[in-house]
Amino acid sequence: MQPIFTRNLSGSNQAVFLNIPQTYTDLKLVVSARAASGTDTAQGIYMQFNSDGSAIYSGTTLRNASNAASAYRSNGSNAFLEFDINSSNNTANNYASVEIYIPNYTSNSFKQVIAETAKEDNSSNTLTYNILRANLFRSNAPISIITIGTNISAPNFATHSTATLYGISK
Amino acid sequence: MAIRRFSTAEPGVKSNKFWDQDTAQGAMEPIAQVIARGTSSNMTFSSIPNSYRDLVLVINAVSNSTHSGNLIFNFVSGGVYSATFVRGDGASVTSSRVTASGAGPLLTNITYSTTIPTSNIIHINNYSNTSKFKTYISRNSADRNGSGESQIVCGLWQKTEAITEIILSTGSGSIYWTGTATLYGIKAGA
Repeated sequence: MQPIFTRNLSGSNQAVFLNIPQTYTDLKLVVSARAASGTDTAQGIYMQFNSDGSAIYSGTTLRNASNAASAYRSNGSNAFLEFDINSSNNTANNYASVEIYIPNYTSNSFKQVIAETAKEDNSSNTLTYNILRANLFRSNAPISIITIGTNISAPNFATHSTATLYGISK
Repeated sequence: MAIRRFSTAEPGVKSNKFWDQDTAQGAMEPIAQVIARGTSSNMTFSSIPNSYRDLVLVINAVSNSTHSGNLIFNFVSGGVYSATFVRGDGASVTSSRVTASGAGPLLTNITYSTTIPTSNIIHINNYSNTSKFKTYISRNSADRNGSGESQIVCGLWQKTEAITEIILSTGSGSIYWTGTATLYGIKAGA
């Protein structure tokens, strides 16, 4: 596993990974993030591939929100959603961890992506999340661009937020 | 044999040194890949080296049949496998467990598609330690835009022998499937 790009997300609400090499088997994106604003009650990250904003994204979520297990899905979306992160509503210095694994990203078939989110806060007054999400990108195009950003009111990421894209070798 | 040298860093750039062409500690290193294109009941990884700390098996495949999946270690099929499942199907959360199984349950009743692949990441911890039973964690991703599921499986193999063979079985006889299963090794730290 080799690091391809690392982005400091501080002070921006979006990061774009361009010209992703097509020489690996799989990709892994690791995000440590927090929103600089608490305007949105449940802030999260969206993700798009190849700058494609058409309605070809879907997901099936298995989630423990604080102490309540639930399952739900979203279909025909224009991005992957539901990667919840901490915000300024949470205790200072708490950052969510998001890991996204993309097998066979250069294939000419649909992409089935595995994502996990850990949003923890040592407080009974705020929501915490432990999420496993199955994500489907219904495009046969190899992935060469990944965009991530905050959603809802699109606040900036907080200082020290980072995203690293790894390539996993053949 | 390739000539080795210490890696160097740009002036002012902090860098850990390690031998070129060696794998950095903690890195994933590919061991083997199986490509399935046709009708079969299993994929097999043989002669797995014991030089890593953990193993990661990544599966990305389509199939024409709804079935379960299993892991079999070292061709051992006695009732020494067990597993605990949590699964979300888009509407409800369900849980289940299997004990004294003849194979290591990996997923249950996954509804496959011939066009949409399913992905699995399976971490097998301390696979070569001869003092411990072996545990694995499987994360399954099978969304199909309106159906499908996500699932986590915690599995146990009650044997202390080092794992040198892994069979990935459909658990329900031969089916048609196409895709890849890639086995990675994770190096131990210093």
